[in-house]
Amino acid sequence: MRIRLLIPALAIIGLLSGCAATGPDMTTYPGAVEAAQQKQAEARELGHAWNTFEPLLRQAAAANDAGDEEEAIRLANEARLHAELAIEQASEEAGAWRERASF
Amino acid sequence: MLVTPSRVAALVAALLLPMASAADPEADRKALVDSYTKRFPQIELQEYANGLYAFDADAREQWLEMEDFPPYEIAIEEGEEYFNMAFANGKGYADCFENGGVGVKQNYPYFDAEQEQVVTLELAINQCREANGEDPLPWTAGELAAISAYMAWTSRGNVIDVKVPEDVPGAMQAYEAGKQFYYTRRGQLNFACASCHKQSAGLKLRADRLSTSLGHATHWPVYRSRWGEIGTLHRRFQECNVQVRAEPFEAQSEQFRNLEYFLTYMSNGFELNGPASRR
Repeated sequence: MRIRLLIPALAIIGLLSGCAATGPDMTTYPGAVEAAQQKQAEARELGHAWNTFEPLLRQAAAANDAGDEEEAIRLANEARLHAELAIEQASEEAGAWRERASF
Repeated sequence: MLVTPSRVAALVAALLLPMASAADPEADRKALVDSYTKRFPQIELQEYANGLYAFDADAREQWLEMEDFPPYEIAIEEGEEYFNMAFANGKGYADCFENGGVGVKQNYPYFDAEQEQVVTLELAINQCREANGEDPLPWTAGELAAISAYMAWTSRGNVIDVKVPEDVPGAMQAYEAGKQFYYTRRGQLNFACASCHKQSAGLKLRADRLSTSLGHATHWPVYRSRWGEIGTLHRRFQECNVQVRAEPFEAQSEQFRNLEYFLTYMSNGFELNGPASRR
């Protein structure tokens, strides 16, 4: 009985820990960069990427090269924020443009 | 593909698009003309083709002085030479265009039913090259811009006559996509083309006065003083995108060709007056 319960229980635990483990770790520099790049890719696919993203990522890389990981993570996360705002802009504009187009 | 809220919203909007009021380019054009002529009753219609020089007397005076020795003249001469140079296979640009490529710019861009896309004059120039075994030219300046300048020069005075045929699948969608681009806010500064060129037309943005979208497509390619050379309309599109802090699309991308399609239709009835000089 215990073994029969254990297997599905382990499966559930595996699923839950898998969910928690998806996505890059934004508390690390590589993770923050990866998360930012994923969002920028999404913004580009929507045709709304901002050109502020790449300079921020370059600044993050420079900070990382200089040994300031905290600043590098902060800048990479700021780049991610710009990409997220661009995605939000795309979502809002998908309908809003039509109101603007009325004469 | 990751399903995200923004993608769901875009899909819903795309599905709703056909349900929105039917696209009517001619009604759009008339409404745009009306909106400007009511705001600026003192400006004659064809003057809109001169952009900010229709609004700014001081800038206009400087521009007219430049027209005595136009900076785009060299590009026209070079463009004519390039245009008349034979390809390696013995053919030339004249073989690709109606009327030998002389006086044809008023028909561009057009929606090509076979290619299922908008074809601009610059795209047609490079398609001509590739069809004859030549490498395509860079899109935004140099030799291609010079050829475009020459073809614009031979078309001066011709009346823009861009068509959006209802019976050609994809044409209306391309027009609507261009219209959507024009009115869509983008970039960190959250500006649409309309923000400057419709809403704020005639007003000053820093040291420059903003031109209207009416007449925007009449005078390209342009010798811009800040470029120090002649450049194409899509180069200006890219610059505008960068100025509002958006990642620019590629020159001659589908997005920019559709935008040019919409903008040029809006200037139907205007006489072509390119190439031109601008600040």
